[in-house]
Parts: sequence; structure tokens; C-alpha cells
Amino acid sequence: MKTLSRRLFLGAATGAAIAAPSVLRAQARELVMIGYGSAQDDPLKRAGAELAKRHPGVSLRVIGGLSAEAIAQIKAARGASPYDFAVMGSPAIINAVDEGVLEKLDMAKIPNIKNVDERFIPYAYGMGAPISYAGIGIAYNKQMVPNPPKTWADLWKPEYAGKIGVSRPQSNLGLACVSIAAAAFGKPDSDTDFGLAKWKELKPLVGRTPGLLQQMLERGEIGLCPLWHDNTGIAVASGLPLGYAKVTGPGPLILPTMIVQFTRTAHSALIHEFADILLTTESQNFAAQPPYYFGTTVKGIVAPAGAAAYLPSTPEEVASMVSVDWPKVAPNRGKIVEAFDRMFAG
Amino acid sequence: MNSKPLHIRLFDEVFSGTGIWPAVPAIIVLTVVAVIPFGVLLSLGFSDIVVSRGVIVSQELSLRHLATALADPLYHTTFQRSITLALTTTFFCTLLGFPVAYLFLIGGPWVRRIILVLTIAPILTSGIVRTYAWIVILGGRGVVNGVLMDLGLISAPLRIINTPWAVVIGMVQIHLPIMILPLIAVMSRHDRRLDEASANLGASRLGTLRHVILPLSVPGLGTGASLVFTLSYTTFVVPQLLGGGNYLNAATMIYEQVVYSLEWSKGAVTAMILMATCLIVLALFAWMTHLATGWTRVAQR
Repeated sequence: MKTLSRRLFLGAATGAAIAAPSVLRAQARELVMIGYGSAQDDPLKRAGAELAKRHPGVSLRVIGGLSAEAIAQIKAARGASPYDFAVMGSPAIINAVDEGVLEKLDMAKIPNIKNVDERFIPYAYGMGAPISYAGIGIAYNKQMVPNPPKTWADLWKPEYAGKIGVSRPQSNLGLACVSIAAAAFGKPDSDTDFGLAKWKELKPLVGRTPGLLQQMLERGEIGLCPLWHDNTGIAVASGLPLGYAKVTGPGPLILPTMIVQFTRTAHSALIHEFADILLTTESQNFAAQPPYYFGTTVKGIVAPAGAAAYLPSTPEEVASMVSVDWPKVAPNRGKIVEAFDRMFAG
Repeated sequence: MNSKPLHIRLFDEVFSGTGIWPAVPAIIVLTVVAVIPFGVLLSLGFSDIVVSRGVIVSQELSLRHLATALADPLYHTTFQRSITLALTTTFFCTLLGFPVAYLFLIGGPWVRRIILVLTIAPILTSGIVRTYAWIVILGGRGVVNGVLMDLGLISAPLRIINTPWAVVIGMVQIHLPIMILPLIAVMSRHDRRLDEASANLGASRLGTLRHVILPLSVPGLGTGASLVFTLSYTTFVVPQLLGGGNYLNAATMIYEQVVYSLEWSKGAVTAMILMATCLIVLALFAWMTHLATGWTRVAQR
């Protein structure tokens, strides 16, 4: 029998030490996804736990951040995505498709997709599965703004002057705000130059991200601002004196959220299964609960009573529920951000 | 001729610490993290690129991005703002840092220890934490507004946060230790007998400070100013958090061009302009330091 030399032993040990992390990772099969980075990740984590139960050794890591930042990271990594999949809104999907970093989900592998309300399917642009939707309304400080606006155009009333904040258009929320300002005054969504000019009239305080804008509202630096309904719901649940107005004209405005997978992921089958779990009645009911009150995409889910303050609830509201004409707006995100800087920071 | 085999000679040379060998690890690290990325930056800035599926599929030499940037009023405003911010920060750090260093020079051992601890302690905490502390202090319901309202000096909170002055305040606090430390290093080598000689020749304390201590501190001032200027000029976090969403400086502009607009060539050109203008100002600082220390070099000859 051949004896093991010290050199051979050391070489083998070093090789094993170097290879160990990748071997363990391969066995453990960790899925990395871009989420919200906040309490809104709870339904995702719950679905991750269910996936892990079905497939021992599988785990889910949810990383927070803007979708645009994830797309830039994948581009910088020359397409070798550090993430497997993400929750993404319609505009980010359009940008990601332009950069070629997404791979279509195969709907035949997501049985529960048949239960999804047909109105949400187009917002995925054939790339992903709609799992929820968020409302865009006006969050306001009840002490500073006793009478909140009812329509978007109301923001231009003198009573709100000097109290308004808005998010930069690099985020989906900020991008929507530019289009909303155009639509509120009878222009098409895509007339973003007009939308920016209208915002300029308001001399708003600008939050670099929706999160920072929300902090400005919480600190009383602004009295009201366009914000996601789920962020407002979480802030209200923590005891802050905030309210939320489901404004119209256009609206109530919503943004569907999809599960999408990045190119070159090694876990495509698990991602499809994860999306399917999120579309089960149990997952949808969980997501609809306070404090986030996610809008559900599966037919027949009854929203809790508290959700009526944030999401379209009456038949009229549900019928007039709209989103922005994203294919005409999202591809120009870079140009809109630059135009915003020329107007506000130039 | 050396009779030792090559690998033994190499081994001896490396472990004797002579020649360039001690610097080799740093040279390798710098090549990987600075020289190669700079090369990539140059190639991106001077070319038109087409990306597909995250991969560059074509790249052609072009000066278009540089020419556009140099003629763009947004660039002029943004760089003017960045340079003004960096010079203002450097000015205030010098103004506040020199008295602290002077106190270090004339103070006893305990005063010196306290100054060192107070200077170094903030560096041990994250810049983001310190910047957030300013949000608490300067905010609408912050300490500053609270005190001013309690004293009856104002009836409604002043808007301090999300203004250029909030950025300056944050930058000065963050970068002050960077100014103080080189000054302390110079002061700790200062020969106090020169001050005594100055006093014996009839100079007042202020006269000694102005004609002896200040000129001998110029190397520390030059180093501190260069460091503070560079860090302030290229800073990203403080303007992001304290300046508000419509405050744009060069670093935030680069971030947006690369991350949100996904225009690498534009971002690369902006980064090159940032680096070039920074080097010009640093060369000016070096030249001014050289001029101001001319007489001490003559005296030492």
C-alpha cells in the first residue's frame, strides 16, 4: 500500500480547504434574492422557509436595495449576477430587459399562475410572475396637514406650499411621480419634461430615495409626499402620526411587483417553485395582513378591513385602478434623472 | 561574482528587506486595485461602447463623451459646487484644527492625551453614524432648533438639514481629525527652545505664534489641507445624507451615471475630470507649501 507523504497530505488538505466553501455552498444551495431590505421582506422569508422545508439544504438570503442598483451591479459583473432572482416593479423590469439581465420565467412551471387576476399579468412584460401590488398615494403628517389632498392636482393648491416632498426619479416611486404630475394636468404619462416642470413649481424638498423621503416626513421636515402605501402602513403601525390619502386623477395608482430571475442562475427550478409558493392562498393572505397590507394578485383573496385605508377597496376604486404607462417612461429613466438634476440641482 | 544559486540569492534579498522587495506587496495591491481599474476607466471614457446581456460587444475610440462633458453647464455647476464645498471644508478644518494643535503644543501631558483621544475617537466610529448624528442635531426637531426655540429666538424650526450648509457642517466634523493629526505630528517635533529664543528677543506670544510656530507648521498644514481637500472633493456619503435629494456633487453624479443611467462612458469621463481637477488643486497646495517653507529649507542648509 502506498504511504501518504507529508507533501501529499498538505497539498490535499490545502486543496480541500480552498474547495470547501464552494462545495458546502453547492450542497447547501443558497438562493440570493433582491428584496425590500425591510419588514416587507416577511412574506418572502416565509415563502423561503416553506421552500427550505420542501428541499432540505435549500436556504434563501434576501438582500435589500433598489432594483436599479442590482441591475448596475450585474452589468458591472459582466452579466455574472451575484443574485439569482428579485422582486421587481414594472419599470425596473423594462430597464433590466434592456440590459439583457433577465431570463423569462416558464409559466407552465408555476401552476398557481392560473389563479392570478388577468389585469396584473401584462405588467410583467412576459418576464415574471405578479405576486403583489403596491399603491402610490400621498402620505401626510396629521399634525401638519389636517386636510389631505383628494386628487394629485390638489398638491398644487397654496395650502400645501412649502410642505411638499418628492423622491428623486431614480427610484420607481420618483419616476412615477414625474408621470403623475403630467397626467394630473391632462398630459400623457410620457411627457416627463412637463411633469418635471410642474414639480419644479412646487419647490419640493427632495428625498434621495423613498426611504430617506419617508424619514423626512417622520422628522416633520415635510408635511406630505407621494409614498408607497406599504411603507406608510409600517410607519403608522409604529405609532407615527401619519395618514395616507388614496388620491385620484389619475388613480388610485398602483405598481405590480413581480418575481423575476436573472440570467445564468443555477436555481431556476427552485425560483419557479418559490414564485408558486408566493401565489398560494396562504402566502397571499399573509402578505395582505398588517402592517404592510400588500395588494394581492390572486383572485378571491379578501383583504383585511385595515387595508381599505391604503388600497383600492370600493368597486369604483378597483375599476379606476391604474398604473403608469411604463414602456413609454421607464426606458428614459437615465434621461429623466439627468433632466431632474438640470432642473433642481443645476 | 556571487556563487550562490539564483533562488537562494532571491530568498536572501527578499528577506534582507533591501531593494524594492519590501514594497512589492503594496505594488501588487495598487496595481490590482488602482492601476488596472484606472486603465479600464480610461478605456471606457474614451470610447463608445455597446453592451448586450451585461457584456461589452463593441468598443470604439471616441472623444465624444469628454467633449460633451466639458461643454455641459450641469458639469460646470456640479464641479464648481464640489470644489467650493471642498475648499470651504478645508478652510474651516484649518481654522478649527490649528488652535487644537497649538493647544497640544503648549499643553501638558494630560492635555495632550485628552486632545489625542478626542481627535482619534470619532475616527473609530463609522462616518455614516456620525452623519446620521447630524441629522438628529440639525433636524426640524433637533437639538439646535430646540434650543433656539426654547430661547425664543425663533418661532418655527429653521431648515438647516438638506441645505449646502448642513453638508459643510457634516464635512468639517467628519474631516477635522484628518487635519489635526498631521498638525499634531509636526507640533510634537517642534523645538520649544525656538519659542523661548523668540520670547527672549522680545516677541509676544502672538508674535511667536505668527513668526515661529505658524511657519514651522506649514508642512503639517499642507499635508492636512491636501488630505481634507481630497476626501471632501470626492465624498459621497455626507452630501447624500445631509444635502437632500437635489444636492448634486461630482461623486454623486458619477454614482447616478453608473448606477441609474447605466452610462459607463459618461461616469468614466466624470471620474477622470474629478481626478484631474483634484490633482491640479493638490499640485497647487504642494506648490504653496513649497513656497511657504522656502526660508526654513534655506535655514537648514
